[in-house]
Amino acid sequence: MGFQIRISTGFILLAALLFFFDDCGLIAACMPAIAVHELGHVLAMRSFGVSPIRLTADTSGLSLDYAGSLDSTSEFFVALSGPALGLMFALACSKLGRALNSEYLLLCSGLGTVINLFNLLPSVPLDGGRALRCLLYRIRCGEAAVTVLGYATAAALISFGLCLIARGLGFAPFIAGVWLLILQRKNTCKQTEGSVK
Amino acid sequence: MKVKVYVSALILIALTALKLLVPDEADRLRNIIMPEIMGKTDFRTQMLSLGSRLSGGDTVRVSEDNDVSKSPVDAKGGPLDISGDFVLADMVAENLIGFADTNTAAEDESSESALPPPADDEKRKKQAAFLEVQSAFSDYVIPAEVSYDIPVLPFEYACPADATVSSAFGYRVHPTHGDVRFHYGTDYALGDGEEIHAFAGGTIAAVQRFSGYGLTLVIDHGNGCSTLYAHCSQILVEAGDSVQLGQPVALAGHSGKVTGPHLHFELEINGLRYNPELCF
Repeated sequence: MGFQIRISTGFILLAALLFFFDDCGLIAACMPAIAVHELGHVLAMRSFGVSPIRLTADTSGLSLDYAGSLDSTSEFFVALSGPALGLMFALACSKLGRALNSEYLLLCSGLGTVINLFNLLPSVPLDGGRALRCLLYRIRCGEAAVTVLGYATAAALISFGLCLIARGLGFAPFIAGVWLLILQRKNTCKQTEGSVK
Repeated sequence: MKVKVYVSALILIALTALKLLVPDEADRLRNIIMPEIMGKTDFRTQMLSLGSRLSGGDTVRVSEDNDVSKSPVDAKGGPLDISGDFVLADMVAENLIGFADTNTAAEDESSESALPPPADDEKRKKQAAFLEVQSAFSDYVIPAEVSYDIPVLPFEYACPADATVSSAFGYRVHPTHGDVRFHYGTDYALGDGEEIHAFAGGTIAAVQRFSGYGLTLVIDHGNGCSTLYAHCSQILVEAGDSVQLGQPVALAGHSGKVTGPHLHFELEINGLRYNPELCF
């Protein structure tokens, strides 16, 4: 079948740093949430008649490339299937975690919620941005709107992050904003590739 | 190109080895590199609470010992300077008035008591001694959800453990980590399997296992008061049960992140954590 997995050196370094700085098992709790998210994409792809051929892991996260082509409506649904299944999984983990008093499941649920809601932001490398692009596909200034929204989201996240830092509430949103901003530059170059995060 | 992969893989292996083989050193390195406002414990607690609330559960009530930064943090109420004698006297006097008022009311209501209540003097002396110990940490702010007042409770209560206090409430130099942290409860020197008694009558609010607190029991005594018993080896009751003052509710142990067996006991009244030793 020839399914490729590509891991960039940046991803390995990122993983090393995250793993080192995580001393409360957050990485282990992320993994099921991320796996189910990607599964959501895969299932949607299959149902629309394309199949995933490559998983790329780099500093912008995980992305799946597929063989075949999808029209914008199908791509819209494929993009949203990841967060959708991810959020359903988070809800299931929440219920099961409370019933079994399992910290791990509750962490899976909390992290899954955050990861999937974040992915719904209207910024192009993220699923929300991709879905938006499919929606605005036929509108004349659609592409420009998507680019502007992408930068605006990153800027909003950075400002929000700075507010939180000023109040001493940690700087995860700030880092996420900066990361998203960097990805905007990366993504204006590769717009025609068929892939979903 | 391949060199980059090998170098990255080596860094990954090195950091992982560091974390697994010398966890204390890794912990110290982490504490140096990560700015203190990166509240890692808070992030974890937030994720747990989110996970719980997603399906309609309650916010998870856990507070691990807080890492206190070397530079004082401006809390909502502002830093409280308790190093001056004048301020200390004021605080003690205030508590005296409050305690006297409610104490007379409580005496009228109670018909019998398990033990004769200790004289006001004793509690005030304990509080003064406690405040003096804490004044050594006057650079640090009293956490927002804590009170240094003498707790005043409208019901009978008794010490949950027939043991000495091994670690007191308030700021302390952490026994294993070596940095200054706030201890939200009192530790009693109980060995594995020794009985833990209910502080007062009430209902079992929660029986839960946490990674830091281990097997934990929470009793709701009504009137906004609840108590928490952590690091247990066994819980003898179930959530929802009614318990009486002094009833054995758990066996002590060393579950969770601890160096040895003991009971970690917390007293909460209307959302504020009080020093349990000031009850007795």
